[in-house]
Amino acid sequence: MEDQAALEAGLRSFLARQLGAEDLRLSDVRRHIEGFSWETWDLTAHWQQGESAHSRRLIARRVPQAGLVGPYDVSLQWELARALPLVSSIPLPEALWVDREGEATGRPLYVMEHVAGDVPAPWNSHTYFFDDSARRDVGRQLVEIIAAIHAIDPIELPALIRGREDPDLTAEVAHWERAYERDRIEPVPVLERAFGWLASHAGDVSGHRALVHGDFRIGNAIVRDGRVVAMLDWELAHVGDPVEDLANFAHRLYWGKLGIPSGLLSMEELLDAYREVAGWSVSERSMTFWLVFNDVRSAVSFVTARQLFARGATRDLRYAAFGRQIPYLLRHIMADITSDD
Amino acid sequence: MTESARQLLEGIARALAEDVSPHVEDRFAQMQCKAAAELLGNLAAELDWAPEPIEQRNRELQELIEALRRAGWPTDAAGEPTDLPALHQARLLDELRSALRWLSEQPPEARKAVDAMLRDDLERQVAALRRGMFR
Repeated sequence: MEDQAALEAGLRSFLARQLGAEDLRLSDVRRHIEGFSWETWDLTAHWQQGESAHSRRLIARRVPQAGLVGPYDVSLQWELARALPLVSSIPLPEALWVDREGEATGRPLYVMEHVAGDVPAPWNSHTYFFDDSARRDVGRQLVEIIAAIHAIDPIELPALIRGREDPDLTAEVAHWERAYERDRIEPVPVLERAFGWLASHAGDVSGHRALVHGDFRIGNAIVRDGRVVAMLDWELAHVGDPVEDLANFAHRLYWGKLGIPSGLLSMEELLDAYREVAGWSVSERSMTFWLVFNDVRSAVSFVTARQLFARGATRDLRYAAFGRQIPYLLRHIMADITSDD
Repeated sequence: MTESARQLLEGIARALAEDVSPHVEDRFAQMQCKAAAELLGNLAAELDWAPEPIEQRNRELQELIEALRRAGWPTDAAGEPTDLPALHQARLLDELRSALRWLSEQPPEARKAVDAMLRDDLERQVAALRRGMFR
């Protein structure tokens, strides 16, 4: 396991240089263990400037040792985080500093401000919100944010972003199929069937082309006092079909106890709100296509988890456990792809 | 036992012994980690001598391929079982891979029987799972 003291020393030196404060010290350094993608370190920096003492809570996001949804390109994340505030009013944490080469801790990272608030989970939405109206209000805010993301002209985005130069709206399917081919230990019959289905239903995409967040759901939003104050986790962002984001919001893994998309809005409320805000209607066929895709993508990331553990790239036992959970996702996929037969 | 299952058990054993156990402060709990690691390592070796699960799986995969042939899949590949069930399984899965891609292009009546078998197969796998994090 990595030496945390050495990592903290590297982070301290890096932040001291950025803030011009050689006496800088860190406290409350803690790694978030929830995610399986970028390493997220929560820390507070303290330093003296003249007579006054300063403290600032920060988040460092570091390329993981073995993440599920690579490639992990710190330059792209940094440039996207810097570009979005210039072209939209999407709530985002401010991106502060980047270490592109990994000089500070051995792996590249970027640092952003800490945003106070909660990250509600779909499985506790029935108890988290004061009432149904507060729950729906946050759902509605998220739909407004999705629509704002989709309204950004792709030309304004960093050149590095996937899909920016590719007019094919199914390019994302090909991207994940390559990940499956690269990481599968053996063929998974239902995924073979599903990739065949996606290829034969390529005509069901919406025809709209936009910036896609890629993992848009309540679990990637910070909520404070009933307002969505930050959208996080942009590592899957790309240019593609915006319906993919709506389908991810409605991913079956995130329906929670209320049994509705992201535990916030019914499917009908979700699609009605999007039509109202974005100005166009999502067809049932497009939604089904991207629901299947999102289940396939999740299953592929479980295949990747299994492979990373099996070849010793990580010893996190949760990766091994993921690999055993694929049948649940495959069951959703089979239900969807045979629903019109 | 398939190579991936062996890797999985050995990986869990290594993680328990080298990454988890040293960070467990309670002496009894630490010993439990080490004992579990040793058991899993031994289990990986013992399962090499229990080919039945692979042969059972091979029979299920063979039935799927037969259903695909009945649906019109034009091949007679995959062949007879070999002395090595794991190797035969790899061949069956490779054939299924091509056949299932082909199936998506076929009309609904050709797909029906195979899709029903895939669903049944999944239900068996789900029923065999002890606990589900992602239902």
